[in-house]
Amino acid sequence: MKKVVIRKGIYRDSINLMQMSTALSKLPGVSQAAVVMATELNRRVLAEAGFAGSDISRAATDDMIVAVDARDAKSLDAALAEAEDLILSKGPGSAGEARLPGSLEEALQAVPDANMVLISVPGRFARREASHALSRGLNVFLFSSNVSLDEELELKEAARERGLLMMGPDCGTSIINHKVFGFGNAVRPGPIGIVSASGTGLQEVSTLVHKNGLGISQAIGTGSGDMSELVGGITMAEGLRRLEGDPETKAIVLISKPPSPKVAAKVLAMARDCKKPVVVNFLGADLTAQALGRARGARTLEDAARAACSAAGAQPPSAEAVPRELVASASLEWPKLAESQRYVRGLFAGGTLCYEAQVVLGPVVGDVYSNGPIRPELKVEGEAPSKKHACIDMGAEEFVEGRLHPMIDFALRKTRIAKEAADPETAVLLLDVELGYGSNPDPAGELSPSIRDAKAAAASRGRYLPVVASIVATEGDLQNLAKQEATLRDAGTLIAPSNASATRLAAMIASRGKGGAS
Amino acid sequence: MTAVDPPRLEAVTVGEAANAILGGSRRGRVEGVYRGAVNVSLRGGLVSLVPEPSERGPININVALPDGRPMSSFGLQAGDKVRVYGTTLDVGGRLLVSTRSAGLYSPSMRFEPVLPLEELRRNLLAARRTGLAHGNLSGLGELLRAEGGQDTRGSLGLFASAAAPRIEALEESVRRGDAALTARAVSELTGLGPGLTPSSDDMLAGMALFMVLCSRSSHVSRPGFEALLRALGSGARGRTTALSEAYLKEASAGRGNEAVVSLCEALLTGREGAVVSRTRRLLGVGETSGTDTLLGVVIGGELCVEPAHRPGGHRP
Amino acid sequence: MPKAKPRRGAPGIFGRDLKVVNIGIPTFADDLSAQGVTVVKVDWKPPAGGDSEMMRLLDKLGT
Repeated sequence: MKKVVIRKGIYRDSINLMQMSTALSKLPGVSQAAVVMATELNRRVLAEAGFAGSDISRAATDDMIVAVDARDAKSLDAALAEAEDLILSKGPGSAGEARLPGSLEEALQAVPDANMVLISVPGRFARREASHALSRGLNVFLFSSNVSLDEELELKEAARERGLLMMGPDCGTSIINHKVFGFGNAVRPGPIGIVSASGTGLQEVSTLVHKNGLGISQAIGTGSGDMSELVGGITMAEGLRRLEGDPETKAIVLISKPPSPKVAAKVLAMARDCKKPVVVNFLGADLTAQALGRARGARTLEDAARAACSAAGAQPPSAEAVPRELVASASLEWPKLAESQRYVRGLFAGGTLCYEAQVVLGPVVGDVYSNGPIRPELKVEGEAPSKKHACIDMGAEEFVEGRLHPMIDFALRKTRIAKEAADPETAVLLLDVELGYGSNPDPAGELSPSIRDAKAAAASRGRYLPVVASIVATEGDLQNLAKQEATLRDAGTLIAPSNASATRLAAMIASRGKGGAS
Repeated sequence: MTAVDPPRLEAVTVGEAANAILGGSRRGRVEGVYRGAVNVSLRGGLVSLVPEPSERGPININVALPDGRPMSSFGLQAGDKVRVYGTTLDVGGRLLVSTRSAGLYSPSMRFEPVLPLEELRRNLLAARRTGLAHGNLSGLGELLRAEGGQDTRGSLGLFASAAAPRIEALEESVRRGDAALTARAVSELTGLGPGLTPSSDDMLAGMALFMVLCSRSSHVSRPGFEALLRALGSGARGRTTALSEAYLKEASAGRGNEAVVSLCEALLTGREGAVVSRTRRLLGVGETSGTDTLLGVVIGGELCVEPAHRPGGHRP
Repeated sequence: MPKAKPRRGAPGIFGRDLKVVNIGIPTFADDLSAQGVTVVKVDWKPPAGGDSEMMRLLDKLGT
């Protein structure tokens, strides 16, 4: 059985082409294999030899042809799959065997014009791999954490010297050229650029921009340590510069937890001097006193998305604090609360969303305790039972040690939901749910039983337990947003359009309709 | 935009054709990026940026690269714009190549004194033998076997089997000096076979090169040669890869990479020892490129040493 | 003689055809492939044994 496959845009020298031919010819069941350039004569000779196909007539001279003659369909398919692997993974010197490259150098034999490396090796090996990648002229997305700030500084200075992007360490999300690296959502291309030291912050803003009808040009993750005093916002600055020069980008959002005054001043000065409109979200830091010029501050991620869309010329949607229909639904819930139920209990997979929730809740309900608090005196141990208003970051180290991340594994959150339900002081549960690349395939399916059980447990004690959630997602994400929403709603969850608005809704419920509309 | 200057490389050698192309072009684009080369097509033709220790050649620009960096590590991609500013090549805004202090690769095209016919024949045989013993025969190398020794024709690969009769047709058309037939025969071989420079193109280039150098050195000429050179000079357009087209054009003008030119010199003027060692050097080029080029050199050589105007098909 | 000087500044990765090398957890590469990105997976092994932390990282990500 004969088949040809045409590949465009693959650049291999003769040595590689020959080795691929040889390797394929040696596969079981293959009587003949050739990897050649698609010149007119080669196409003709192959066609005359019975390697037909409509592709072959449409191939251009600089395309590559893989032609295989095998004794049966199974061997043929195996050979073509092998060819695909060889094109992507094979380097010279390992003839006859399909073997993944064992190092960056070998990978570059196979794809010499690689331009990005995604590194997720253990922290103590990460610096070395990233450094090597930079020296080979490659941009780096470094997912690994447990890399010291000193090492981070060294990497970022090296990257800057070479004009390369160093995203990370501890960078969970980026969207480069409309492709998601790490965790992230399917958002449409558009005019908003993002530079973010927070992964879930980037996800929230990008999905909200998408929901507003616009899209993302580039979203550059800097890693959580970028805005530290030592590193000084190198990638944040680099990202902002590049977005300023990017024709696709019309407005820019910068996201970070509040940095030190020195780093803040530097970044705000750059934002002010930027030729394009910049929206700065330092997660709740009040920037009104700053001289920002055309740049502006945003207190919530939701505001940041709205302001960016507006700056890019779009008509922003109505700025309701909480959508009317949700207030209406909530107003049917809070009358059912028992007297003892007083507190908001937020259980978060995204650390930034946990932080933002505290920022939003604070002015409305007073002190909010957390294992990732906005003020040191509000710190509590994550595993300790909640007291008063609490927002717990379930993705923090103490929970994740030896386990899956809560965006993927819901076991700990489910256990905690049950605990909160059993606490007579819990007035409302607040949850974040992330869809998209890297996340659990069915978060709603995981959470709904727990939500039902929690409500049932509260009801059996004469209480009513409202549950509020926001879903960080777009309709393009593979978990099927509409179904996820429906599943959660069926279990009695109130779904708000953003983390900020979900938080306000929770505050409203806990305060029986008094607070939360700000 | 970042404020980083692109790296600047110094060219050590510029091939004669590359030099002319640079002189006459302002703009171009990157054609292909490989570990060992970045090929750039400019208004005047194609040039190949290669690392310093690579072969010198008419379209090559050999650049001094720091610490073994491959040519593919500058973030270049096919389609990137190229600009020429005087002696500097700006490749995609990511790499600058300066040819200001480069030496010119422009080897002689006349080698003297040319050996008597008998010794030429001996040298050609020695080259054939060496090719068979040490070459990579997966392209057209099997065709190095003397006639009659090719009863393995049935076991030749698809492309070598397709090439063999076409090569015979070409030889015949050259012997007859038939321009139209030669042009036809050349177009039936251009682009045929495996390799980034298809095997048959390497063979044609070797053939043309030897013929040009032989006729310039010894004033031996055959009417068929001119037809062949003309067919190669223009006939390749669109029928093969851009790189191969460039090599064929150069070969038809008597310009080739160092390994093949120095072999031609040894064949025309040198002792067997030199022929064997330079053949081995040529065989080391590329994957089958060197061996296929050698086949062409030998075929071209044998056409040169044949008595002129022999009708019929058999080689001596 | 042309007057213009060679361009300063490396244009960067925006708008380029992405070609990625993945070193570490394979699912990241699969997600990129699913988006049509050319990815090569490196079968990474720690340079000198000792992979308890790798186990932890893999546990964290469920692979």
